[in-house]
Amino acid sequence: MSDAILQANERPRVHTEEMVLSMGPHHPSTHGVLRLEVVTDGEVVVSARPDIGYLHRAIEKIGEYVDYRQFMPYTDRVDYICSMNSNHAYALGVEKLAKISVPLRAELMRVMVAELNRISSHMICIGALAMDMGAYTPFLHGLCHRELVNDIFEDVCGARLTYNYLTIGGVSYDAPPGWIEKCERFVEYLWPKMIEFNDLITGNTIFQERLCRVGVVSPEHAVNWGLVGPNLRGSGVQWDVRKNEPYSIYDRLEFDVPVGDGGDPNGSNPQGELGDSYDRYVVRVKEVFESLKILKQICSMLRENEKLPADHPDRLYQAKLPVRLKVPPGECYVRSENPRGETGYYVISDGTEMPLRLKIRTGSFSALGCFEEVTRGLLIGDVIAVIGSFDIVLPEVDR
Amino acid sequence: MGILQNRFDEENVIFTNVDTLLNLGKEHSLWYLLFATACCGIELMQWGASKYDSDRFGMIPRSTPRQADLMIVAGTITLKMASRVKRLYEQMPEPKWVISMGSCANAGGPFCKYSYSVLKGIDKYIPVDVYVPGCPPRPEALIEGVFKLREVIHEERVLRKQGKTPKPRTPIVVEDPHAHDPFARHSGGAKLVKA
Amino acid sequence: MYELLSALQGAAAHPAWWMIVLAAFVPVMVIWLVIQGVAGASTYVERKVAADIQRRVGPNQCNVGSFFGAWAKEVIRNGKGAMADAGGRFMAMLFIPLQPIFAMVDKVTAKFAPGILIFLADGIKLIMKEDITPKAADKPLFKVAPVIVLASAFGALATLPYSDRFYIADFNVGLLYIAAIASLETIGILMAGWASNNKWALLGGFRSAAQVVSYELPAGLAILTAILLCGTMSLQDMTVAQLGLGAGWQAGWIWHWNIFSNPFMLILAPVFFLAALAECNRTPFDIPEAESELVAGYHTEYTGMRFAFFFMAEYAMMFVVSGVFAVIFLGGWSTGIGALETWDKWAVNGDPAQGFYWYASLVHLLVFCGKAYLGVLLMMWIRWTIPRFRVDQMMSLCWRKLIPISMTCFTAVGIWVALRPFVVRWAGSEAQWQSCAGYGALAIAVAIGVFLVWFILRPLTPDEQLRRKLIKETSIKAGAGHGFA
Repeated sequence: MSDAILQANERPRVHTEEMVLSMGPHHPSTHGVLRLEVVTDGEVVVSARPDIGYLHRAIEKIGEYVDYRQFMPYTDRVDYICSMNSNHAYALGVEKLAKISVPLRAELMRVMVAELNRISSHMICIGALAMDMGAYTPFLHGLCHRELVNDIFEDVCGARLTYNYLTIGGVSYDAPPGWIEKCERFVEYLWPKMIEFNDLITGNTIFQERLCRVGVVSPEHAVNWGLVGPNLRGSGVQWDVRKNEPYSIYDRLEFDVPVGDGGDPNGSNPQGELGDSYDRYVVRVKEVFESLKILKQICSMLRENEKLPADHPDRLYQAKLPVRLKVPPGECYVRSENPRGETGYYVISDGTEMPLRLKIRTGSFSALGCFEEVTRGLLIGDVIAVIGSFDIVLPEVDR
Repeated sequence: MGILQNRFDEENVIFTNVDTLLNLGKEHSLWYLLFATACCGIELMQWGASKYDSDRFGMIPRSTPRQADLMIVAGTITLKMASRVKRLYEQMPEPKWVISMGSCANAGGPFCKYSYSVLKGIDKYIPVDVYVPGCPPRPEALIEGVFKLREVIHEERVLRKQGKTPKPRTPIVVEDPHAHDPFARHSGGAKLVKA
Repeated sequence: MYELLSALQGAAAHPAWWMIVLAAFVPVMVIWLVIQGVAGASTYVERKVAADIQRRVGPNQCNVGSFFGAWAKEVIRNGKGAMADAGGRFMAMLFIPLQPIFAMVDKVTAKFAPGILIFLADGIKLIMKEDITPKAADKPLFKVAPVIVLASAFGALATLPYSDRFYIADFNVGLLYIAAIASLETIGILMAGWASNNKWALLGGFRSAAQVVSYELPAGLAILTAILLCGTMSLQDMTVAQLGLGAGWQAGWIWHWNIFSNPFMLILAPVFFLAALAECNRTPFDIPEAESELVAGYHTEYTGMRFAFFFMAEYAMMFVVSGVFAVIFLGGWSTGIGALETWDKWAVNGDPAQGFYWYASLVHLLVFCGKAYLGVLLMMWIRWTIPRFRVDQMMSLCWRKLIPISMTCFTAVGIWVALRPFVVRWAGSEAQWQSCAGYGALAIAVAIGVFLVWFILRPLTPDEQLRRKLIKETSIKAGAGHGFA
């Protein structure tokens, strides 16, 4: 539809003027402090150029001033919606460089909290996308479920948002008594709740019409632009670091990698196109179910683990490390699958307590790269939809 | 309120009473600006969402500064962003208040020492009424901050003249007693510390 | 109103001057109170409805006790204080007897309507806000726009037939007048959008103009169909026409309402409701003020009372369109119970044409307000449930779907009305035809009732049982959703 309008506008019947709209940095639906310089012709977007840097906090530079353990809280702030996953990626990097092996129980706890955090991150994403489309209620329902994840995290590490839970060589605290039961109850609770959520918004006709055929990224383009995570899988590319390059204990877990198929979960949506905003949304909804599957498996694995004698090496939640952690000289790059896609940590060590250089590669930044191309010719309302479906989080972009 | 504002004798009890009524109206209807920059924004959202429900106190988000009474500066303010925050503040109509939420907005937080691009405290740019510490503060702490702000509003003079030497606004800091105790569950026992 | 006053004055040739002043002044005050009441109550109700849908509590702090009670406490304390002057002591004396009354009212309201005074607090605050006019704004237009918007809602409220006896104005082109003055709102919105010198506001204004001009058509066609069916434009006469007088025992029953009079009106009712939603800029057509797209749309630059005018106008407009819906489809103030309407203790001599007793009129007032407010509640429910359309989808819905449907229905009802004399002749007489149609309607109503009973009592599938359980477990009263209890 919007393409038709654009074509109609390209035929110069009436003299029209272009208008420059400055969307952001304070705008209800730019998800933070993104500024878009939108050139519009009436309602049609001629170009939408992202202007970033409003949240540049120099986190990579700070990495060169603090030692390896002290940098862990900063990884929370790189992507505060999924702090556990950020922690995990950084810990993987340092452990690979320092050749530290992590006990089994620590790995189990790590995957547990990472998947819980993936759920809570996707809750914000799909809820906020619905809110951008004008439905405020799904957003609050999403946050309501997220509160339960927060409660679980609070029990295990005391914080609600920036956890600093993972340490190099393990996790900070062991699971408190009754924590695994709580997680199991959460899985039982959320599964039907997600079905209710789908009833509320995913199958809504207006919602589908708003998102289908909007912001289409073809598989080739998605690979060329370097999209990662759900944005890449929404375009139908089967790529998940957890499956393709398993880290931690993901190779022992059974789960599927949902990809976009151009339709909706029930197949009743013929108007979709592969790689549109709706596909990216649906991939996230399906990933919540996959994470729930993983949680179930981890819960039973943790129960098996607790049957071991207390002094068994697999029961440890931390590797024994020196107080002053020195990492041998060298460099390494690790990547892990975050809710916003592949997050890479590139660490260079010169043998001292602090990294020589630390580089973070994030998914939102690459998603913003193709933003101008994707939104060309859409309507203003669609630009909001594309921001929401790319699930852009600004500190990840600016760092 | 232009012609009536600050016109009447400050000792007059009737106008004191009228001011009380007006202040009661203001404090029960604090519409806040939907404005979040970083991590604290997520806790701000949770504070406005179902579990903590800021609507209980009559607080609803407005996305335009023209209709907002309260600005909750939630999150890190970088040097690039600071002028925008100031502009937003100037666009809000009087009477207006500011709550500085989180360590970053209070003093630069964890980015205070090494970061070259972070503003070390939003109070360098705009006046702040209540500081809520924490990284990020719990929603309960923010609720406590709002209640402290309501105490400030309750004492304001609308129709009466301001005193000859107006009392300097003392910054109010909400202390979270469990801020450093990771295993303590939340409880509403925040204390008031007058700086 | 004027007729009522004339009756008071007696049969004088010329009305006295105070009569004219009263006749002008009293209705204005009444409408103003209606607007205040509707807007105030609606903001509260809207927040409570939203809270209920979103598993929240909603406003519950601003009660009579914590507002007026707290005020009274302070006034009395100030009156007793050392600084108290005579005025202060007098005021405290006034408040001492009021304090227990506040406490008593608080006990009731805090239980049944917690936070009820929230609209009063909002009002006080909005009055006290600074009134900002942007420097580059078109100042006269900027200042007059909210007044125009409110005036259109104001003017439209005047002609609603609240009851058979209590109404403000009833003139023979009532529906035309409402359609005309309600679309005046768009001019105000367009002015606001243009004069603000803000691009978001401008986009909002343009969107609103395009939207309301389009949706006037299906709404207008629906109104036209009702006029065709009832043969009158006066809202009061249209309500009386839906009583179905002259049909013997069947007069006043629910199936005389326009919505049940023929199948096309049943199709037209949702069409009109959608168009009405679009005309008062409510979700899914809240495109002119789309919060997540256009910051706040056409009222982005408005502060304080000027914004409150837009706010009040929105809620008043919701009430107006729901009222019009009630009149042209749901029989206006008619209760729909024929046995009651033709009871000789209810209507004079048991004949509604001769008028009703005063208590019947009061009940009619309640019935009309209830019907209109049901529409408002439905609008709120829709707002907090579904997302909004995109601009082009909204236009295509109107031009490709609603207008053809309403055009077809209009034509079909025209044919229906034209064929009616022949049908009556075939049936024998008007009364016989009415009776015939009445039995048909009764049969359909019974069928629907049986279906509903079956629907409620039917055995549930496991999936539905799960969902019921879920709804029960996660309701606010069960405390779930806020943590595992």
